[in-house]
Amino acid sequence: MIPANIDRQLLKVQKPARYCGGEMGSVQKDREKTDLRFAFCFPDLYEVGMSHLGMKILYSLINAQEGMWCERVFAPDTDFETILRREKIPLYGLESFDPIRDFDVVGFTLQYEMCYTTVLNMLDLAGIPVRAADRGEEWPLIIGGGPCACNPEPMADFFDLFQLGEGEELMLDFLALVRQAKREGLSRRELLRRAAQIPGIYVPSLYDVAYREDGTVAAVTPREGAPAKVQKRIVKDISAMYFPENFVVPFTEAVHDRAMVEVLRGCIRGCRFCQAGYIYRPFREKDPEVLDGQARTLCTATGYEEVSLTSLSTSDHSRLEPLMEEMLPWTQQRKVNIALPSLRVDNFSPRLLELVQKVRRSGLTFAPEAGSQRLRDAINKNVTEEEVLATARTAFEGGCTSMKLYFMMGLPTETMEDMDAMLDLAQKVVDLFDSLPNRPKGRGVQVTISVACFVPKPHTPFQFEPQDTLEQFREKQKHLLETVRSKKIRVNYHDAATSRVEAILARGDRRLAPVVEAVWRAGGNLEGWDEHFSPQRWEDALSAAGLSGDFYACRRRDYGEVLPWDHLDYGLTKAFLIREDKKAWESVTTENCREKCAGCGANHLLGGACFEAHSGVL
Amino acid sequence: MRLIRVFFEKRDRAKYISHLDLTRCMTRAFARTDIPAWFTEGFNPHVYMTFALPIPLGFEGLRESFDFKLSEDGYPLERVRDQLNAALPPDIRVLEAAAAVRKPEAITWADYRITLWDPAGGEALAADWDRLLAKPAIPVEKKTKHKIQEMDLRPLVTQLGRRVEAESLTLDLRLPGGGAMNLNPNLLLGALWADRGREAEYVQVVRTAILTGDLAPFA
Repeated sequence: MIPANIDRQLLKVQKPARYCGGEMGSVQKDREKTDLRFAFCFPDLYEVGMSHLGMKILYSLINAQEGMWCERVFAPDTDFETILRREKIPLYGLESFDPIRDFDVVGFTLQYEMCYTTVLNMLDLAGIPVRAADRGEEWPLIIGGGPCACNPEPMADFFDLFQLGEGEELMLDFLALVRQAKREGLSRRELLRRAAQIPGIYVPSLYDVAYREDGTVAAVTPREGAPAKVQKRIVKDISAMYFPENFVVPFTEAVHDRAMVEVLRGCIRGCRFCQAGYIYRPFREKDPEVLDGQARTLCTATGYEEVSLTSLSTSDHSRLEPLMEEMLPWTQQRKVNIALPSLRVDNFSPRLLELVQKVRRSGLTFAPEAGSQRLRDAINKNVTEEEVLATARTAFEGGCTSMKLYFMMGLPTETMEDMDAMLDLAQKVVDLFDSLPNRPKGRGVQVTISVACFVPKPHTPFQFEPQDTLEQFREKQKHLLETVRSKKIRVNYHDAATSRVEAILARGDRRLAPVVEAVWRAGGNLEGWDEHFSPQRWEDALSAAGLSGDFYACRRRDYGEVLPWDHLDYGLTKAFLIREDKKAWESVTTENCREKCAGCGANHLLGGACFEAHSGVL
Repeated sequence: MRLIRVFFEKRDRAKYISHLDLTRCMTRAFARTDIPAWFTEGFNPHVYMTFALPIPLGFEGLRESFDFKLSEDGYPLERVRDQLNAALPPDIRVLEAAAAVRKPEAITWADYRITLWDPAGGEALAADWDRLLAKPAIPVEKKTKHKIQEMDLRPLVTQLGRRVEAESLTLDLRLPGGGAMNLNPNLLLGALWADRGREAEYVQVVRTAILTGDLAPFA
């Protein structure tokens, strides 16, 4: 039952279904028979969080444990937040409506930097003090994970611990300790000391950070037996790994509302700007038989009409063709659509192309990322102009009349000629369309180029590189708009100010914690949404703290500098990242991992070579 | 092919599901069962399903219904009920699946139980309500897709019961329902708020029955 005090409010807000749970697949347990309550918080709106596979996996995993109850918590939209505060309703779990401040563990997934202020707002809505140092024994443990945990330093003051890497095994190790600590009545301090001994757990309060006069990190020193380096956890055999048999199926539509199976982890490509391509290494594939079974089970349990084969680059699965052969008959019979996001066009067999065309119906998108071949070589994005044009030709001949091209501006080594090359490429696509005798009649072609601002990220070869200043970004955007000659080419770009704050936080250190807190106190919340983002709040908070945004965003790091995340080991050696950055400046590409091992170091997490063919070589 | 009418209740958490979301929820529920439902044959095949009288978001319903077609005539109807119940969230329960008797156009009335809470108390609410009902006419503006229409609600309202408690007032009302003439209780409540100068603090609306012109339950 919805408690009356909450029920009274729900008709006053937009989309009340976001705040009352009760969906098919949501888990109810008996409070009397649970000894561990976990609040899984996604610091964004329901429809965003409910699209996230990682949350579904950990929700099911924890609920599969006897005596543990995991509930979902999302950020309320501003209309409901106002009501929660006015009516003094503390933030609650969607399954039980119980206040999460009474739970044992409150976990946040940190998917992107712009959610940081939302995390603080959710803690505050729950009635939990935001700073770890202000929380005594009576408060839940506040933990974090997800990609931003690879440099959580700007959030270090707010969390008790972070889980680095993959959670399928680590989460259970951690929860076993929490249970033991409750049973033995351990103090929070002692629990954290022991947690720091679990591989993959980073307890920031057990590390002292010293700074140099120039603001860079002098040293990070562990205390109380914590390891000098915390290595992220991975699951070696992802085919044998836990995977949910059911999802919570939302009533109200989520951004991605469909079944999902994860076909592979990691990425063989090594695009030098792409954090996901590095922090999820080593590359591991799931067996097609396992995937087919998991997809069937999920579709049966959820009733979804679409199943997505997700990963960073699904066509890099070496047995995608047999998987598709296996899945096509039953999906067609059950009228289930197969979605294939993240496809590369350069590695398709004719048969695979045929299979994919049977299921594909979405628009045509391409991510060359850079306009010129020289710059694509520098960022190691191994897509050629010929490939873009060949695919466009096939699509146009098949009746398609639009194409979307994704680019980035501000990439290391970029010049104005590279910017011009973006438009040249778009123009070539337009010219190609117009030159085709069998092009679709009656409609012109529309090429959209979408240009994002480059954000240098930790654990990538470009972690040493400066971001463009706001002025540089705006000058380039202006140049781009001024040089578009054709109405058939549409240019989209993002506001550079968001990318700048992302860059500051992504490579930030602990001195930014007061800044994040000040921005939140000044009203920062849900800043991933343009209407809630204010760059001025960030600039004000930085100046008040005596810090410079340029120091974090626009400064080149010396290869010898101690970086704030150097004590967090994602399997990659710094020597490898330096090597790759140097190759970028020589416009030299690196083979993909399947062709040749580049020696990044991540194979040590596996304890052997990533690919059988390389096992003798290493 | 048999036209089957499924009667269900929609309570508690499920009352915040919109009609569109309820339709999608039912579609997915069918996909979780092996009920041989007939699919439309268009470009985008889906289970054929029609809801006789969609229920507004925020209302509970004690006996709502939708129709679908069984492509195997002999498929047992208890099995339709049980399979759907296993495939639906706990706050949507199928009460019965039966061969459709009347056409949806036969729906004429809907009964509602409306409970109002207000710090002013049940007596004050009842006085406000009685004053509204005693008026010779309750004129309101009803917005349709194309125009704003003036209408008088008073002749459309039949009060079946009225209970006053310390903090609340509970009304049992019969209102026109169906394709020809439909009165959403929210329109009536809007007139009450306008007349007393403010909204009640909390309102619960339950659709208790759907009736045909001869006041028989829609079957």
